[in-house]
Amino acid sequence: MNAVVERNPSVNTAAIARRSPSLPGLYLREAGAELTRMRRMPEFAIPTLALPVMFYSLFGIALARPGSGTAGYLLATYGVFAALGPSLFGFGAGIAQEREQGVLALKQISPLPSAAYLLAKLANAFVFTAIVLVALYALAGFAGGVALPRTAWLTLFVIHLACVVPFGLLGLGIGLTLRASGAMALTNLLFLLLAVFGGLWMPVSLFPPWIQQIAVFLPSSHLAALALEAAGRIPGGGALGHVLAVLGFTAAFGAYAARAWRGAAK
Amino acid sequence: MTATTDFPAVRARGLVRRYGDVAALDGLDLDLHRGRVTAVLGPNGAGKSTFVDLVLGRGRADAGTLDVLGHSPGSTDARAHTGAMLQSAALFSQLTVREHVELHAGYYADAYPVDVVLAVAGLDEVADRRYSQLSGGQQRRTQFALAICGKPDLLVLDEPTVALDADARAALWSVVRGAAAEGAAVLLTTHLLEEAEALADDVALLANGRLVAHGSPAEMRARVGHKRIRCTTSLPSATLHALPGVRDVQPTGRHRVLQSVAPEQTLRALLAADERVRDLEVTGASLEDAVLDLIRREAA
Repeated sequence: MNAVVERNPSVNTAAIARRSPSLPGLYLREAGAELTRMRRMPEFAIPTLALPVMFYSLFGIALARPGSGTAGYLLATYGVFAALGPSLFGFGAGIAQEREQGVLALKQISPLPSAAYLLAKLANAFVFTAIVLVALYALAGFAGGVALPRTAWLTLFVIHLACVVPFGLLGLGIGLTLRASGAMALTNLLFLLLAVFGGLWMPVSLFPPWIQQIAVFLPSSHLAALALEAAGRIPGGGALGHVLAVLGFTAAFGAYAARAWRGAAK
Repeated sequence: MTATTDFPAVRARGLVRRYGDVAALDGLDLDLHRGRVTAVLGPNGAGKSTFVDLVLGRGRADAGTLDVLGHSPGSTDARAHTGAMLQSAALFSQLTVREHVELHAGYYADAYPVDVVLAVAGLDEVADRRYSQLSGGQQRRTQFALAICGKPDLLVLDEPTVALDADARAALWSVVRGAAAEGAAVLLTTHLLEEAEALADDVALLANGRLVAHGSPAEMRARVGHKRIRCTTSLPSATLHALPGVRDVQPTGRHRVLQSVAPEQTLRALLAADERVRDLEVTGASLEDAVLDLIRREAA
Protein backbone atom coordinates (compact mmCIF):
# COMPACT_ATOMS: atom_id res chain seq x y z
CA MET A 1 0.00 0.00 0.00
CA ASN A 2 3.02 2.23 -0.08
CA ALA A 3 3.14 2.36 -3.85
CA VAL A 4 2.25 5.54 -5.65
CA VAL A 5 -1.51 5.69 -5.90
CA GLU A 6 -2.82 6.58 -9.31
CA ARG A 7 -5.56 9.17 -9.47
CA ASN A 8 -8.72 7.24 -10.08
CA PRO A 9 -12.10 7.83 -8.47
CA SER A 10 -12.58 4.17 -7.68
CA VAL A 11 -9.42 3.84 -5.57
CA ASN A 12 -9.36 7.37 -4.31
CA THR A 13 -10.67 6.85 -0.83
CA ALA A 14 -10.57 8.78 2.38
CA ALA A 15 -8.01 6.84 4.29
CA ILE A 16 -5.42 6.01 1.65
CA ALA A 17 -2.03 5.82 3.29
CA ARG A 18 0.38 7.46 0.90
CA ARG A 19 4.09 7.61 1.36
CA SER A 20 5.14 10.79 3.03
CA PRO A 21 7.95 12.78 1.49
CA SER A 22 11.34 12.18 3.11
CA LEU A 23 11.47 14.38 6.18
CA PRO A 24 15.18 15.30 6.21
CA GLY A 25 14.87 16.29 2.56
CA LEU A 26 11.84 18.43 3.35
CA TYR A 27 13.65 20.27 6.14
CA LEU A 28 16.75 20.80 4.03
CA ARG A 29 14.83 22.11 1.02
CA GLU A 30 12.91 24.55 3.19
CA ALA A 31 16.13 25.84 4.77
CA GLY A 32 17.74 26.06 1.34
CA ALA A 33 14.85 28.11 -0.01
CA GLU A 34 15.09 30.44 2.97
CA LEU A 35 18.81 30.99 2.37
CA THR A 36 18.22 31.64 -1.34
CA ARG A 37 15.60 34.18 -0.38
CA MET A 38 17.86 36.00 2.06
CA ARG A 39 20.70 36.04 -0.43
CA ARG A 40 18.39 37.86 -2.81
CA MET A 41 17.43 40.43 -0.19
CA PRO A 42 20.40 42.81 -0.05
CA GLU A 43 18.38 45.16 2.19
CA PHE A 44 18.48 42.44 4.83
CA ALA A 45 21.75 40.71 4.06
CA ILE A 46 24.08 43.70 3.72
CA PRO A 47 23.29 45.57 6.95
CA THR A 48 23.13 42.28 8.87
CA LEU A 49 26.54 41.22 7.64
CA ALA A 50 28.27 44.58 7.45
CA LEU A 51 27.12 46.38 10.59
CA PRO A 52 28.99 44.26 13.19
CA VAL A 53 32.10 44.10 11.01
CA MET A 54 32.14 47.87 10.42
CA PHE A 55 31.54 48.74 14.06
CA TYR A 56 34.17 46.31 15.24
CA SER A 57 36.74 47.59 12.73
CA LEU A 58 36.10 51.11 13.97
CA PHE A 59 35.83 50.72 17.77
CA GLY A 60 37.74 47.50 18.29
CA ILE A 61 40.63 48.12 15.94
CA ALA A 62 40.95 51.57 14.35
CA LEU A 63 40.14 53.66 17.45
CA ALA A 64 41.64 51.27 20.03
CA ARG A 65 44.96 52.16 21.65
CA PRO A 66 47.50 49.46 20.76
CA GLY A 67 48.16 47.18 23.67
CA SER A 68 45.00 48.23 25.52
CA GLY A 69 43.35 44.86 24.97
CA THR A 70 40.30 46.54 23.47
CA ALA A 71 40.36 44.38 20.34
CA GLY A 72 40.12 41.21 22.41
CA TYR A 73 37.50 42.57 24.77
CA LEU A 74 35.22 43.89 22.03
CA LEU A 75 35.62 40.73 19.97
CA ALA A 76 33.78 38.87 22.72
CA THR A 77 30.92 41.39 22.83
CA TYR A 78 30.67 42.07 19.07
CA GLY A 79 30.33 38.32 18.52
CA VAL A 80 27.12 38.50 20.56
CA PHE A 81 26.09 41.55 18.56
CA ALA A 82 26.67 39.57 15.34
CA ALA A 83 23.89 37.14 16.32
CA LEU A 84 21.47 39.90 17.27
CA GLY A 85 20.67 41.15 13.76
CA PRO A 86 19.97 37.87 11.93
CA SER A 87 18.02 36.50 14.91
CA LEU A 88 15.86 39.49 15.74
CA PHE A 89 15.20 40.78 12.23
CA GLY A 90 15.09 37.47 10.37
CA PHE A 91 12.60 36.08 12.85
CA GLY A 92 10.84 39.09 14.32
CA ALA A 93 10.12 41.58 11.60
CA GLY A 94 10.40 38.90 8.92
CA ILE A 95 7.70 36.64 10.32
CA ALA A 96 5.40 39.57 11.06
CA GLN A 97 5.56 40.51 7.40
CA GLU A 98 5.01 36.94 6.21
CA ARG A 99 2.04 36.65 8.51
CA GLU A 100 0.51 39.87 7.22
CA GLN A 101 1.00 38.91 3.57
CA GLY A 102 -0.55 35.48 4.07
CA VAL A 103 2.65 33.52 3.38
CA LEU A 104 2.50 31.98 6.84
CA ALA A 105 -1.17 30.97 6.38
CA LEU A 106 -0.31 29.12 3.17
CA LYS A 107 2.54 27.28 4.92
CA GLN A 108 0.30 26.39 7.86
CA ILE A 109 -2.39 24.80 5.70
CA SER A 110 0.15 22.99 3.52
CA PRO A 111 1.51 19.58 4.53
CA LEU A 112 4.78 21.23 5.59
CA PRO A 113 5.43 20.50 9.29
CA SER A 114 5.52 23.81 11.13
CA ALA A 115 8.85 22.79 12.68
CA ALA A 116 10.38 22.80 9.18
CA TYR A 117 9.25 26.37 8.62
CA LEU A 118 10.71 27.54 11.93
CA LEU A 119 13.92 25.51 11.68
CA ALA A 120 14.54 26.95 8.20
CA LYS A 121 14.50 30.41 9.74
CA LEU A 122 16.69 29.28 12.63
CA ALA A 123 19.21 27.66 10.26
CA ASN A 124 19.27 30.87 8.29
CA ALA A 125 20.07 32.91 11.40
CA PHE A 126 22.85 30.46 12.27
CA VAL A 127 24.39 30.69 8.81
CA PHE A 128 24.33 34.48 8.74
CA THR A 129 25.74 34.70 12.24
CA ALA A 130 28.50 32.22 11.41
CA ILE A 131 29.52 34.26 8.36
CA VAL A 132 29.80 37.43 10.45
CA LEU A 133 31.70 35.57 13.17
CA VAL A 134 34.29 34.25 10.74
CA ALA A 135 34.81 37.80 9.43
CA LEU A 136 35.10 39.20 12.97
CA TYR A 137 37.54 36.52 14.10
CA ALA A 138 39.70 37.08 11.02
CA LEU A 139 39.73 40.83 11.67
CA ALA A 140 40.59 40.31 15.33
CA GLY A 141 43.33 37.79 14.62
CA PHE A 142 45.00 39.46 11.68
CA ALA A 143 44.35 43.17 12.21
CA GLY A 144 43.65 43.36 15.94
CA GLY A 145 46.44 41.12 17.12
CA VAL A 146 44.10 39.02 19.24
CA ALA A 147 45.72 35.73 20.15
CA LEU A 148 43.74 33.03 21.91
CA PRO A 149 44.29 29.32 22.54
CA ARG A 150 42.48 27.17 19.99
CA THR A 151 40.00 25.90 22.57
CA ALA A 152 39.15 29.47 23.54
CA TRP A 153 38.35 30.33 19.92
CA LEU A 154 36.13 27.27 19.75
CA THR A 155 34.34 28.01 23.03
CA LEU A 156 33.83 31.57 21.89
CA PHE A 157 32.36 30.39 18.58
CA VAL A 158 29.93 28.06 20.34
CA ILE A 159 28.80 30.78 22.76
CA HIS A 160 28.38 33.32 19.99
CA LEU A 161 26.38 30.92 17.82
CA ALA A 162 24.21 29.91 20.77
CA CYS A 163 23.10 33.56 21.08
CA VAL A 164 20.88 32.90 18.05
CA VAL A 165 18.52 30.75 20.14
CA PRO A 166 17.32 33.20 22.84
CA PHE A 167 17.36 36.19 20.46
CA GLY A 168 15.59 34.17 17.77
CA LEU A 169 12.84 33.04 20.14
CA LEU A 170 12.32 36.62 21.29
CA GLY A 171 12.08 37.77 17.68
CA LEU A 172 9.69 34.92 16.84
CA GLY A 173 7.34 35.89 19.66
CA ILE A 174 7.31 39.51 18.52
CA GLY A 175 6.84 38.56 14.88
CA LEU A 176 3.85 36.38 15.70
CA THR A 177 2.22 38.90 18.03
CA LEU A 178 2.61 42.30 16.42
CA ARG A 179 1.79 43.64 12.99
CA ALA A 180 4.67 44.16 10.56
CA SER A 181 5.11 47.88 11.22
CA GLY A 182 4.87 47.46 15.00
CA ALA A 183 7.19 44.47 14.98
CA MET A 184 9.76 46.43 12.98
CA ALA A 185 9.64 49.35 15.41
CA LEU A 186 9.85 47.19 18.53
CA THR A 187 12.60 45.04 17.02
CA ASN A 188 14.65 48.12 16.23
CA LEU A 189 14.18 49.37 19.78
CA LEU A 190 15.13 46.03 21.33
CA PHE A 191 18.07 45.73 18.97
CA LEU A 192 19.51 49.01 20.25
CA LEU A 193 18.57 48.35 23.87
CA LEU A 194 20.14 44.89 23.93
CA ALA A 195 23.24 46.11 22.11
CA VAL A 196 23.91 49.33 24.02
CA PHE A 197 22.77 48.49 27.55
CA GLY A 198 23.93 44.91 27.25
CA GLY A 199 27.44 46.26 26.74
CA LEU A 200 27.88 44.86 23.23
CA TRP A 201 29.16 48.08 21.67
CA MET A 202 31.22 49.31 24.60
CA PRO A 203 31.91 47.87 28.05
CA VAL A 204 29.06 48.37 30.53
CA SER A 205 31.64 49.49 33.08
CA LEU A 206 31.93 52.78 31.19
CA PHE A 207 28.29 53.59 31.97
CA PRO A 208 27.00 55.28 35.14
CA PRO A 209 26.11 52.74 37.85
CA TRP A 210 22.32 53.05 37.43
CA ILE A 211 22.61 52.06 33.77
CA GLN A 212 24.83 49.16 34.74
CA GLN A 213 21.93 47.93 36.89
CA ILE A 214 19.76 47.62 33.75
CA ALA A 215 22.24 45.23 32.17
CA VAL A 216 21.37 42.53 34.70
CA PHE A 217 17.90 42.31 33.15
CA LEU A 218 19.17 41.91 29.60
CA PRO A 219 20.08 38.49 28.17
CA SER A 220 22.70 40.18 25.98
CA SER A 221 24.78 41.20 29.00
CA HIS A 222 24.85 37.65 30.37
CA LEU A 223 25.81 36.26 26.97
CA ALA A 224 28.51 38.93 26.69
CA ALA A 225 29.82 38.02 30.16
CA LEU A 226 30.07 34.36 29.14
CA ALA A 227 31.94 35.30 25.98
CA LEU A 228 34.27 37.64 27.90
CA GLU A 229 35.03 34.88 30.33
CA ALA A 230 35.76 32.42 27.52
CA ALA A 231 38.10 34.98 25.95
CA GLY A 232 39.80 35.45 29.32
CA ARG A 233 38.84 39.14 29.53
CA ILE A 234 37.02 38.99 32.85
CA PRO A 235 37.86 36.75 35.79
CA GLY A 236 36.15 33.35 35.68
CA GLY A 237 33.80 31.97 38.28
CA GLY A 238 30.60 33.80 37.37
CA ALA A 239 29.76 31.47 34.51
CA LEU A 240 27.15 29.37 36.30
CA GLY A 241 25.07 32.41 37.23
CA HIS A 242 25.19 33.72 33.67
CA VAL A 243 24.35 30.32 32.19
CA LEU A 244 21.33 30.07 34.48
CA ALA A 245 20.26 33.59 33.53
CA VAL A 246 20.57 32.79 29.83
CA LEU A 247 18.61 29.56 30.25
CA GLY A 248 15.94 31.45 32.15
CA PHE A 249 15.61 34.06 29.40
CA THR A 250 15.58 31.33 26.74
CA ALA A 251 12.81 29.44 28.53
CA ALA A 252 10.76 32.62 28.95
CA PHE A 253 11.18 33.66 25.30
CA GLY A 254 10.44 30.09 24.22
CA ALA A 255 7.19 30.04 26.18
CA TYR A 256 6.25 33.42 24.73
CA ALA A 257 7.00 32.23 21.18
CA ALA A 258 5.08 28.96 21.66
CA ARG A 259 2.03 30.83 22.93
CA ALA A 260 2.25 33.27 20.05
CA TRP A 261 2.53 30.38 17.57
CA ARG A 262 -0.65 28.78 18.85
CA GLY A 263 -2.36 32.15 18.69
CA ALA A 264 -1.26 32.70 15.11
CA ALA A 265 -2.53 29.26 14.09
CA LYS A 266 -5.92 30.05 15.75
CA MET B 1 -9.34 0.14 1.84
CA THR B 2 -11.56 0.86 4.74
CA ALA B 3 -13.45 3.91 3.57
CA THR B 4 -16.01 3.75 0.80
CA THR B 5 -16.00 6.01 -2.20
CA ASP B 6 -19.41 7.50 -1.54
CA PHE B 7 -18.44 8.75 1.89
CA PRO B 8 -18.20 12.52 1.38
CA ALA B 9 -14.75 14.10 1.19
CA VAL B 10 -15.94 16.82 3.53
CA ARG B 11 -18.87 16.40 5.87
CA ALA B 12 -20.15 19.25 8.03
CA ARG B 13 -22.93 18.70 10.52
CA GLY B 14 -24.43 21.43 12.70
CA LEU B 15 -21.29 23.52 12.27
CA VAL B 16 -21.21 26.62 14.47
CA ARG B 17 -18.52 29.26 14.60
CA ARG B 18 -18.98 32.43 16.61
CA TYR B 19 -16.98 35.63 16.62
CA GLY B 20 -18.07 37.35 19.80
CA ASP B 21 -21.86 37.62 19.59
CA VAL B 22 -21.98 37.05 15.84
CA ALA B 23 -22.48 33.51 14.57
CA ALA B 24 -20.54 33.36 11.29
CA LEU B 25 -21.71 29.77 10.89
CA ASP B 26 -24.97 28.90 12.57
CA GLY B 27 -25.57 25.19 12.25
CA LEU B 28 -24.27 24.45 8.76
CA ASP B 29 -24.89 21.02 7.22
CA LEU B 30 -22.99 20.43 4.00
CA ASP B 31 -21.29 17.57 2.16
CA LEU B 32 -18.63 17.90 -0.51
CA HIS B 33 -18.26 14.90 -2.79
CA ARG B 34 -15.35 13.43 -4.68
CA GLY B 35 -15.31 14.15 -8.37
CA ARG B 36 -17.62 17.12 -7.95
CA VAL B 37 -17.10 20.86 -7.90
CA THR B 38 -19.15 22.47 -5.16
CA ALA B 39 -19.56 26.24 -5.37
CA VAL B 40 -20.34 27.90 -2.08
CA LEU B 41 -22.16 31.15 -2.74
CA GLY B 42 -23.70 33.81 -0.60
CA PRO B 43 -23.57 37.49 0.25
CA ASN B 44 -20.68 38.96 2.25
CA GLY B 45 -20.89 37.72 5.81
CA ALA B 46 -22.83 34.60 4.83
CA GLY B 47 -20.09 32.41 6.28
CA LYS B 48 -18.25 31.29 3.12
CA SER B 49 -14.78 32.31 4.27
CA THR B 50 -15.40 30.97 7.75
CA PHE B 51 -16.36 27.60 6.26
CA VAL B 52 -13.20 27.59 4.11
CA ASP B 53 -11.10 28.46 7.17
CA LEU B 54 -12.58 25.63 9.22
CA VAL B 55 -12.13 23.09 6.41
CA LEU B 56 -8.47 24.09 6.20
CA GLY B 57 -8.05 23.87 9.96
CA ARG B 58 -7.62 27.59 10.44
CA GLY B 59 -9.82 27.94 13.47
CA ARG B 60 -11.97 25.55 15.43
CA ALA B 61 -15.71 25.08 15.34
CA ASP B 62 -17.61 26.08 18.47
CA ALA B 63 -20.10 23.28 17.92
CA GLY B 64 -20.93 20.59 15.39
CA THR B 65 -18.67 18.17 13.56
CA LEU B 66 -16.44 18.58 10.55
CA ASP B 67 -14.71 15.69 8.86
CA VAL B 68 -12.11 16.30 6.15
CA LEU B 69 -10.98 13.28 4.09
CA GLY B 70 -11.68 11.02 7.05
CA HIS B 71 -9.53 13.12 9.36
CA SER B 72 -9.92 16.14 11.57
CA PRO B 73 -9.48 19.43 9.71
CA GLY B 74 -5.97 20.85 9.83
CA SER B 75 -4.46 17.54 10.93
CA THR B 76 -1.29 16.32 9.25
CA ASP B 77 -3.25 13.61 7.43
CA ALA B 78 -5.88 16.04 6.15
CA ARG B 79 -3.25 18.57 5.04
CA ALA B 80 -1.26 15.89 3.21
CA HIS B 81 -4.14 15.46 0.75
CA THR B 82 -5.39 19.03 0.52
CA GLY B 83 -4.39 21.77 -1.90
CA ALA B 84 -5.62 25.29 -1.38
CA MET B 85 -5.60 28.70 -2.93
CA LEU B 86 -6.42 31.41 -0.43
CA GLN B 87 -8.10 34.67 -1.21
CA SER B 88 -5.29 36.91 -0.01
CA ALA B 89 -2.04 35.03 0.06
CA ALA B 90 1.22 36.41 -1.23
CA LEU B 91 4.18 34.16 -1.88
CA PHE B 92 7.84 34.88 -1.22
CA SER B 93 8.71 37.61 -3.70
CA GLN B 94 12.38 36.59 -3.96
CA LEU B 95 11.80 33.05 -5.25
CA THR B 96 11.10 32.19 -8.88
CA VAL B 97 7.92 30.49 -10.05
CA ARG B 98 9.79 27.23 -10.59
CA GLU B 99 11.41 27.38 -7.14
CA HIS B 100 8.00 27.93 -5.58
CA VAL B 101 6.46 24.97 -7.38
CA GLU B 102 9.46 22.71 -6.61
CA LEU B 103 9.37 23.63 -2.93
CA HIS B 104 5.62 23.17 -2.59
CA ALA B 105 5.44 19.97 -4.63
CA GLY B 106 8.07 18.59 -2.25
CA TYR B 107 5.55 18.82 0.59
CA TYR B 108 3.42 16.10 -1.01
CA ALA B 109 4.12 12.41 -1.35
CA ASP B 110 2.80 12.02 -4.86
CA ALA B 111 3.09 15.36 -6.62
CA TYR B 112 2.93 16.00 -10.35
CA PRO B 113 6.28 16.66 -12.08
CA VAL B 114 7.14 20.35 -11.81
CA ASP B 115 7.18 20.88 -15.58
CA VAL B 116 3.69 19.43 -15.88
CA VAL B 117 2.38 21.79 -13.20
CA LEU B 118 4.03 24.79 -14.86
CA ALA B 119 2.55 23.85 -18.24
CA VAL B 120 -0.93 23.19 -16.89
CA ALA B 121 -1.00 26.50 -15.02
CA GLY B 122 0.28 28.34 -18.10
CA LEU B 123 3.49 29.41 -16.40
CA ASP B 124 6.21 27.90 -18.64
CA GLU B 125 7.24 31.23 -20.05
CA VAL B 126 7.64 32.93 -16.70
CA ALA B 127 8.98 29.90 -14.79
CA ASP B 128 12.34 31.51 -14.08
CA ARG B 129 10.99 34.90 -13.13
CA ARG B 130 10.84 35.96 -9.54
CA TYR B 131 7.40 36.17 -8.02
CA SER B 132 7.75 39.94 -7.51
CA GLN B 133 8.26 40.42 -11.26
CA LEU B 134 4.99 38.73 -12.21
CA SER B 135 1.74 40.43 -13.17
CA GLY B 136 -1.23 40.06 -10.83
CA GLY B 137 -2.71 37.35 -13.01
CA GLN B 138 0.58 35.41 -13.19
CA GLN B 139 0.91 35.61 -9.41
CA ARG B 140 -2.59 34.22 -9.04
CA ARG B 141 -1.76 31.40 -11.46
CA THR B 142 1.34 30.58 -9.43
CA GLN B 143 -0.82 30.27 -6.32
CA PHE B 144 -3.13 28.01 -8.30
CA ALA B 145 -0.15 25.91 -9.38
CA LEU B 146 0.76 25.38 -5.72
CA ALA B 147 -2.82 24.34 -4.95
CA ILE B 148 -2.89 21.60 -7.60
CA CYS B 149 0.75 20.43 -7.60
CA GLY B 150 0.28 17.74 -4.93
CA LYS B 151 -2.59 15.88 -6.69
CA PRO B 152 -4.88 16.80 -3.80
CA ASP B 153 -7.98 14.80 -2.98
CA LEU B 154 -9.52 18.03 -1.75
CA LEU B 155 -8.93 21.22 -3.73
CA VAL B 156 -10.02 24.43 -1.99
CA LEU B 157 -10.24 27.54 -4.16
CA ASP B 158 -11.22 30.76 -2.45
CA GLU B 159 -12.12 33.34 -5.12
CA PRO B 160 -9.59 31.82 -7.53
CA THR B 161 -10.11 33.95 -10.63
CA VAL B 162 -9.95 37.43 -9.13
CA ALA B 163 -7.34 39.34 -11.20
CA LEU B 164 -7.46 36.85 -14.06
CA ASP B 165 -8.41 37.84 -17.60
CA ALA B 166 -11.03 35.88 -19.55
CA ASP B 167 -8.55 33.50 -21.22
CA ALA B 168 -6.69 32.67 -18.04
CA ARG B 169 -10.01 32.19 -16.25
CA ALA B 170 -11.22 29.72 -18.86
CA ALA B 171 -7.89 27.85 -18.70
CA LEU B 172 -8.12 27.61 -14.92
CA TRP B 173 -11.68 26.34 -15.16
CA SER B 174 -10.64 23.53 -17.44
CA VAL B 175 -7.88 22.46 -15.03
CA VAL B 176 -10.35 22.48 -12.15
CA ARG B 177 -12.78 20.37 -14.19
CA GLY B 178 -9.89 18.02 -14.90
CA ALA B 179 -9.05 17.69 -11.22
CA ALA B 180 -12.67 16.87 -10.45
CA ALA B 181 -12.76 14.36 -13.30
CA GLU B 182 -9.78 12.61 -11.71
CA GLY B 183 -11.69 12.32 -8.47
CA ALA B 184 -10.83 15.38 -6.42
CA ALA B 185 -13.50 17.10 -4.38
CA VAL B 186 -13.39 20.80 -5.22
CA LEU B 187 -14.61 23.51 -2.88
CA LEU B 188 -15.00 26.80 -4.72
CA THR B 189 -16.09 30.15 -3.38
CA THR B 190 -16.71 32.89 -5.87
CA HIS B 191 -18.44 36.19 -6.34
CA LEU B 192 -18.74 35.47 -10.06
CA LEU B 193 -21.95 33.57 -10.52
CA GLU B 194 -20.90 33.05 -14.11
CA GLU B 195 -18.01 31.06 -12.67
CA ALA B 196 -20.29 28.93 -10.53
CA GLU B 197 -22.53 28.39 -13.53
CA ALA B 198 -19.61 27.28 -15.71
CA LEU B 199 -17.84 25.13 -13.17
CA ALA B 200 -20.07 23.82 -10.42
CA ASP B 201 -21.85 20.49 -10.22
CA ASP B 202 -23.40 21.56 -6.95
CA VAL B 203 -24.25 25.01 -5.69
CA ALA B 204 -24.55 25.58 -1.96
CA LEU B 205 -26.08 28.88 -1.06
CA LEU B 206 -25.30 30.23 2.39
CA ALA B 207 -27.03 33.05 4.17
CA ASN B 208 -26.48 34.05 7.78
CA GLY B 209 -24.26 31.04 8.38
CA ARG B 210 -26.80 28.46 7.23
CA LEU B 211 -27.41 26.46 4.07
CA VAL B 212 -30.49 27.97 2.45
CA ALA B 213 -30.41 26.18 -0.89
CA HIS B 214 -28.49 23.33 -2.44
CA GLY B 215 -28.63 21.87 -5.94
CA SER B 216 -27.23 22.01 -9.44
CA PRO B 217 -27.07 25.44 -11.14
CA ALA B 218 -30.03 24.41 -13.33
CA GLU B 219 -32.09 23.41 -10.30
CA MET B 220 -31.30 26.71 -8.65
CA ARG B 221 -32.39 28.70 -11.70
CA ALA B 222 -35.60 26.70 -11.95
CA ARG B 223 -36.61 27.76 -8.46
CA VAL B 224 -37.09 31.29 -9.65
CA GLY B 225 -40.49 32.03 -11.14
CA HIS B 226 -39.72 35.52 -12.30
CA LYS B 227 -38.19 37.51 -15.14
CA ARG B 228 -35.79 40.41 -15.15
CA ILE B 229 -36.71 43.66 -16.83
CA ARG B 230 -33.92 46.03 -17.69
CA CYS B 231 -34.60 49.62 -18.72
CA THR B 232 -33.43 53.21 -18.55
CA THR B 233 -35.93 55.33 -16.66
CA SER B 234 -35.99 58.52 -14.65
CA LEU B 235 -38.47 57.12 -12.12
CA PRO B 236 -37.17 56.88 -8.54
CA SER B 237 -36.56 53.44 -7.05
CA ALA B 238 -39.49 53.75 -4.64
CA THR B 239 -41.93 54.26 -7.53
CA LEU B 240 -40.47 51.29 -9.40
CA HIS B 241 -40.80 49.14 -6.29
CA ALA B 242 -44.49 50.04 -6.10
CA LEU B 243 -45.25 48.78 -9.64
CA PRO B 244 -47.31 45.58 -9.76
CA GLY B 245 -45.33 42.35 -9.61
CA VAL B 246 -41.99 43.96 -8.78
CA ARG B 247 -39.98 42.12 -6.15
CA ASP B 248 -36.68 43.94 -6.40
CA VAL B 249 -35.04 46.93 -8.04
CA GLN B 250 -31.32 47.15 -8.61
CA PRO B 251 -29.38 49.96 -10.20
CA THR B 252 -26.83 48.65 -12.69
CA GLY B 253 -24.92 51.50 -14.23
CA ARG B 254 -27.31 53.83 -16.02
CA HIS B 255 -29.97 51.12 -16.09
CA ARG B 256 -32.46 49.76 -13.61
CA VAL B 257 -33.09 46.04 -13.31
CA LEU B 258 -36.50 44.99 -11.97
CA GLN B 259 -37.28 41.45 -10.89
CA SER B 260 -40.95 40.78 -11.55
CA VAL B 261 -43.23 37.82 -10.90
CA ALA B 262 -45.83 39.33 -13.28
CA PRO B 263 -43.75 40.84 -16.08
CA GLU B 264 -46.70 41.74 -18.36
CA GLN B 265 -48.45 43.79 -15.69
CA THR B 266 -45.20 45.39 -14.62
CA LEU B 267 -44.43 46.44 -18.18
CA ARG B 268 -47.89 47.93 -18.73
CA ALA B 269 -47.61 49.96 -15.52
CA LEU B 270 -44.03 50.99 -16.25
CA LEU B 271 -44.89 52.27 -19.73
CA ALA B 272 -47.83 54.16 -18.33
CA ALA B 273 -45.83 55.73 -15.52
CA ASP B 274 -42.86 56.81 -17.63
CA GLU B 275 -43.54 57.48 -21.28
CA ARG B 276 -39.84 58.17 -21.87
CA VAL B 277 -38.65 54.76 -20.69
CA ARG B 278 -35.92 53.38 -23.01
CA ASP B 279 -33.68 50.35 -23.63
CA LEU B 280 -36.30 47.81 -22.52
CA GLU B 281 -35.12 44.23 -22.25
CA VAL B 282 -36.91 41.25 -20.69
CA THR B 283 -34.96 38.05 -19.94
CA GLY B 284 -35.32 34.86 -17.94
CA ALA B 285 -33.67 34.49 -14.56
CA SER B 286 -29.93 33.86 -14.37
CA LEU B 287 -28.19 32.00 -11.58
CA GLU B 288 -27.45 35.41 -10.15
CA ASP B 289 -31.16 36.28 -10.04
CA ALA B 290 -31.89 32.91 -8.49
CA VAL B 291 -29.31 33.46 -5.81
CA LEU B 292 -30.46 37.00 -5.08
CA ASP B 293 -34.07 35.85 -4.97
CA LEU B 294 -33.30 32.99 -2.58
CA ILE B 295 -31.33 35.28 -0.31
CA ARG B 296 -34.13 37.81 -0.29
CA ARG B 297 -36.65 35.11 0.61
CA GLU B 298 -34.34 34.00 3.39
CA ALA B 299 -34.10 37.52 4.75
CA ALA B 300 -37.87 38.09 4.56
